[in-house]
Amino acid sequence: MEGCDPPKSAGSVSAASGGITYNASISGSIAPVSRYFILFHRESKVYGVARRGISDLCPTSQRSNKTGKTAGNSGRFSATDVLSWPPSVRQIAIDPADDSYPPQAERESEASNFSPYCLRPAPSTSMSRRIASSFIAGFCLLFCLSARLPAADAAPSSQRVAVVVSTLNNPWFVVLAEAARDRARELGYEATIFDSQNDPAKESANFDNIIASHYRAVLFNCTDAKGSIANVRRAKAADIPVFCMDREIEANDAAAAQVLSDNYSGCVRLGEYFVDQVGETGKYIELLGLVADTNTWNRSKGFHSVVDRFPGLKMVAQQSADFDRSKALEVVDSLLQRNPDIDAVFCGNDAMAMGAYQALFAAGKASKVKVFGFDGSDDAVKAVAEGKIAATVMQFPKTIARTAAEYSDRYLRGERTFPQRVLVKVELVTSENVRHYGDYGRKK
Amino acid sequence: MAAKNEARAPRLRIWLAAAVVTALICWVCPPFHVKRLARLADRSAGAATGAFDAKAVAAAIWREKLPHAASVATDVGIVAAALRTDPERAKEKLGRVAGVGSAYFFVRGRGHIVSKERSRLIVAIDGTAGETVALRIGPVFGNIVRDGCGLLNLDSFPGLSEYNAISAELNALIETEVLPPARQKAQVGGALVFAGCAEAPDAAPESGEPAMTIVPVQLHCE
Repeated sequence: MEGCDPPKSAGSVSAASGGITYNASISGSIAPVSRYFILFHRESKVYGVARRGISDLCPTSQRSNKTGKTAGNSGRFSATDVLSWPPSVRQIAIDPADDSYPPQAERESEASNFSPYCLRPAPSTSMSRRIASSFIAGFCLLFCLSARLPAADAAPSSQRVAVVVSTLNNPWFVVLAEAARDRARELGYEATIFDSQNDPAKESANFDNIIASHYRAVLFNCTDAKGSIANVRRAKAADIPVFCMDREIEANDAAAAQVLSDNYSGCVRLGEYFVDQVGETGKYIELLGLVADTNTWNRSKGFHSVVDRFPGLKMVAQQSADFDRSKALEVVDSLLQRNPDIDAVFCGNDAMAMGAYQALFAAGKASKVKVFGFDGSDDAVKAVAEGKIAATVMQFPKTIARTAAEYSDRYLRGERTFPQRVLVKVELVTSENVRHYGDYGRKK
Repeated sequence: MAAKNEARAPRLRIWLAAAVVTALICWVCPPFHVKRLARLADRSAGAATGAFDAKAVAAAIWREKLPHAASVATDVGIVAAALRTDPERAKEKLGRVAGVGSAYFFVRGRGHIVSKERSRLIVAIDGTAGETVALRIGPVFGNIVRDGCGLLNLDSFPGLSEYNAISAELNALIETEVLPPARQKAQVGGALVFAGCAEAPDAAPESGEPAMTIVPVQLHCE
């Protein structure tokens, strides 16, 4: 006979050990004690247990079971019968004060027929209570899993940072993106790079993904200074701070901070070197970058603030090549047809400078026409060292990326005071000092 | 029947209690928020008020703020000596950091012209042991005065284009109001009083070379 935990009920219940044990009954009414069995009782008398839907497994009940069927036979079960019941058999609680059932004579004579079986660890609560408790517990668990922890309390390892870069076709931006990602990881965040492929629509889709996936911050290199503002505002509205890298957005209240190169100063220096190398008279071509990028115009204005002071220097053509090497090759090749006697080409970035050099080389003019770039990319620095390109300007993509990542970490730890724009110094790279530069920065 | 109803009553109460508790939890800690999409109007600072007038802004700084700032600028002899011994410390203690990696000095002093070149004057600083600085008298380019004077905050401008336009206007004012008289009057051996801005060098100046090149905002040849 199994030891048992008595059913919770009014009155005490004692375990039996052979023979008859009279137990206090469960008072109340028909109460389901498990999903399988129902205890029938009335007025402190328990008459039996019926399995749901099956009325004839259990001892007599002259009351209907839950299904409305009359319970099985009249009542006496041998010990063998009881033992053959399934493990979830319930105890028959018999009121010792009740003489009506079973009759005293039967109780005494049939003592061995009844073996109390304990209620299985039947829940003391009803089915509906269990359901309600499970629902509340599950809801609370679900809520806790989905709730956002306060930023200052959340461990960095549980937070993700998105790095959105305008394009991965240009090695300079690859360095920018990877440096941002790596620094974010060093600070303990999960970081993912999203490539906008120079497409504002793709950039918007990236932001949709970032917002829906609950990233905690965005390190952002935009495709369009005006068009990208909406994406930054959406992220801000979703409580995701955006830190712009390298490219500015034309809004002061959208991004948390913007870490930018001082392109204007850099091209002032480049312009002074241009005049020094080309002279105060000559003809040149200018290749512009993406017209929607403020860097294009900051660089151009810085260059012209110097070169335009020398009336002898004439710009014979100005055309955009979208910061792209292949396009620059085509544009310069075409412009050379109309302007074969140029002295220099000023390019808004190194990719275009390399493309321009290729076109000049193909035309047999590489040694006569000086090419100037901007960025400080590895191939351009090597080209400066080899004398193919006259000069470039080193931006420091790793410094920009690391600064942005560190700002995002400080923000997520609770700091809120950041300058809207931070300018990172750039340096002129010429044949005189090129040995100090490489790998997108200064050599150590 | 009555027993059935009695049995149902506790169950209903339990479900009701569960619903109330759930509603309370959702009220206190909602699992999601519904927000209206805001109108995405262009809110760039200054956009609503029309084109940015860099000339007017530069003129106001030149007229109203720069004279006082020049009168309290750091003594050039102190800065020059500090640059010779420890450029990094000089930047930290006497300079003005702008962004990442850039630092500037705003200095004033008096001296004598040692040599006059096409685009600069070499000046020996009075009260020093032959310390010299270069004063630019040729075309003025770049952001040295804008960033060196410390009177402008990038965050208060709509963008970098506007901020750079301030540089161009300040440079133009220097070229029209400061340099022409100086070019005319400056003679080797002559005394002068000046105030101006210089970009902090990366390394200590070489011996015999001027400690720094200053773009003057005030220059009086005596």
